[in-house]
Amino acid sequence: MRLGSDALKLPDSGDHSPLCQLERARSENLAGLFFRHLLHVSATLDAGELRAVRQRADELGMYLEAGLGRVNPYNIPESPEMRDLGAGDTVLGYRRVLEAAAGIGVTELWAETATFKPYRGRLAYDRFRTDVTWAEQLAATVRFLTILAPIARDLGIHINLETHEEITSFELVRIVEAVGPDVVGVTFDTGNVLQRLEHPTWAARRLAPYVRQTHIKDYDLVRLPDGLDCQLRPNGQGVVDLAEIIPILHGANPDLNLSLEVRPFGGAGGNGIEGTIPGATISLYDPEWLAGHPDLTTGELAAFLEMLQRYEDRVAAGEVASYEEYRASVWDEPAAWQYVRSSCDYVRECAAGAGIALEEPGERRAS
Amino acid sequence: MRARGIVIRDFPWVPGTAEELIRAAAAVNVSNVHVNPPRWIGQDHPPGELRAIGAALAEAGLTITVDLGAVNPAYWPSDDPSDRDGTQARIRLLREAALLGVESVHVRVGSPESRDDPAVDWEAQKAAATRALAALGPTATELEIAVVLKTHEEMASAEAMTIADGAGEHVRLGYSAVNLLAVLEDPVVAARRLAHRVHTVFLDDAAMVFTAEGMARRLRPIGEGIVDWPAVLAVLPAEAPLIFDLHRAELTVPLYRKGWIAARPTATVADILRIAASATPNTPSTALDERRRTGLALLPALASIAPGIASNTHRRAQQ
Repeated sequence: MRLGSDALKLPDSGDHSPLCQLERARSENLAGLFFRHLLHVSATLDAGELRAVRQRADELGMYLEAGLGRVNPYNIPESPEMRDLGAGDTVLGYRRVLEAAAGIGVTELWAETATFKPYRGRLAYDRFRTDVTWAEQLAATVRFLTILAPIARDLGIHINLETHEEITSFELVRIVEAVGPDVVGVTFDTGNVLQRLEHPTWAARRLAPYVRQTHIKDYDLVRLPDGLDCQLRPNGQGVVDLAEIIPILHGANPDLNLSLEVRPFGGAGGNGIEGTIPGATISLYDPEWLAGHPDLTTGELAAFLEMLQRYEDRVAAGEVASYEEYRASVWDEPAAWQYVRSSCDYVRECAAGAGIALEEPGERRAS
Repeated sequence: MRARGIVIRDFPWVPGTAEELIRAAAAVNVSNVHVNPPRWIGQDHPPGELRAIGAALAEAGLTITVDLGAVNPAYWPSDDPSDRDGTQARIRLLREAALLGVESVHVRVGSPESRDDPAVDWEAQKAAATRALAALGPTATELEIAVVLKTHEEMASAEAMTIADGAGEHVRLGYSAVNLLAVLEDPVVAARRLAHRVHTVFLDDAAMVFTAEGMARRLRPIGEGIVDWPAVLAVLPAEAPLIFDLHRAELTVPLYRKGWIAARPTATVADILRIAASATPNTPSTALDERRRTGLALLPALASIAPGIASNTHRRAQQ
């Protein structure tokens, strides 16, 4: 296992070239970067640019992962660049990204089924779109992945759907098994599953055989009258028990890369809407929200509520900042980098506690 | 107007004789007293004395209902080696109750402790209870006394219904909302589930709070807790007596205890979340006097709620 980071969310990442981002990450002792989309490595899929990044990652002994983007046909139009890449032929656009990735030896590609929207409650999630059902979106996603599968399979690529805010781990397992685990996997985001009322450790157990990329992160949860809200926290300062999760992931895939996904700062990418929408992001008391989660079990709900209770106990004891205290705290560049460093330290501590030796940057020269 | 009653322990002062009982009931304007624990029966009263008490109560327009306690021979077998499941003793009590003019006797199966005791499987406890309740059928039918199984603290509504169905038509249900909260059931949902078999309604209210072990019940005046009584009474049988029943126990619901929720397969995510949504800060139960005062003041209004269904449980009312 190696510990790196999602490139998009590192402080001021948007102000730096991919090569510079590699250098900055290496200087922070990160063992790799996970560029959210291959187009973030080269917006034109320029072979020279892509090779240069590959070469520099190899020189620094860093892993290189990237992404393919949206694979739900109902929101692919939100990424018009993909159709542009194919000159109007969407599948061709995706093929070009897959081929370019394979060309530089990037064979694990992140993908997502939707994106959080700036609306209140369940309507922030495409799961609850009113123009098309989630079941229709999932079916369309499977159909599109089935189209991409032979292309990816020929190139030795896995398309790894994230446990993104809108989708459950149960649904991801079904998609992977429907399309084929030889070509589709999972990007396990340790925090996002909370938004679907899933316990991160339980989700890790469900997903472990299929996890090929990660977003390692933590969240505070706070009770509101209309549900729960969540707030990104440095690893170890929220509800996610990485000391339990990392050994589960390691047990299934010892070569898995652990990529932080940190709180955005400055020129970092990301939607940056956390805390800007009033009310709960997890509308668990809304009957329509609940009706949209048929896989939830009482056992996992009990575990979730216990996790929340234990976290509230820590807040009450002053071990971690409350939602309001953290929101009011200074958020500047030093704080953002401290967030990265303390998150790394905590992951290393969890791995060491489980007897897992993380590979340092440079230990593995060939990708 | 349906019958309005009170559990004997919940009078401001507990009457000890039939005359005191009649005066106490009149003072709070109820026509039924739920006797718990049993008085006047289960002891060595000659039949004539019981008949005289029954006649005095009837003359005063007062009925009593009698709590016979737990029916759970698998967990609490009788001390009598010739009557291990307690059936003969209960039949004697039924006959004595009939002399008092009792129309219903009330039972429970277990307790949270008995349910979770690995020494005696809960399914075995329920099965034995069902058999023991079934054994009361001929006598209960002969005497026209309903045997009312309460939704007690350990008992899910679906389980109570299954036991009643298995035991026979003479077994009805006593709906206790604050006990349903102790197994994390939404009282309104449970009322809809049980409605056609409910004989008696036990009135009380409670808040639910989060605690280190899961949740806990904090008792509140009617109308100030989680129970939506107007919604509940709108679906329960019109003639079901309302018995004012002030619970004391601030029950812990150990939701986080390993295996607790797995041992309650009828619990649902929706019910738990509805209760969680209504959870309040963890403050102590309201004082008994305030709960009594509020509840007795609301009793007439609650009794006047006219539901949309009728029950087949009150045989004498049909005759």
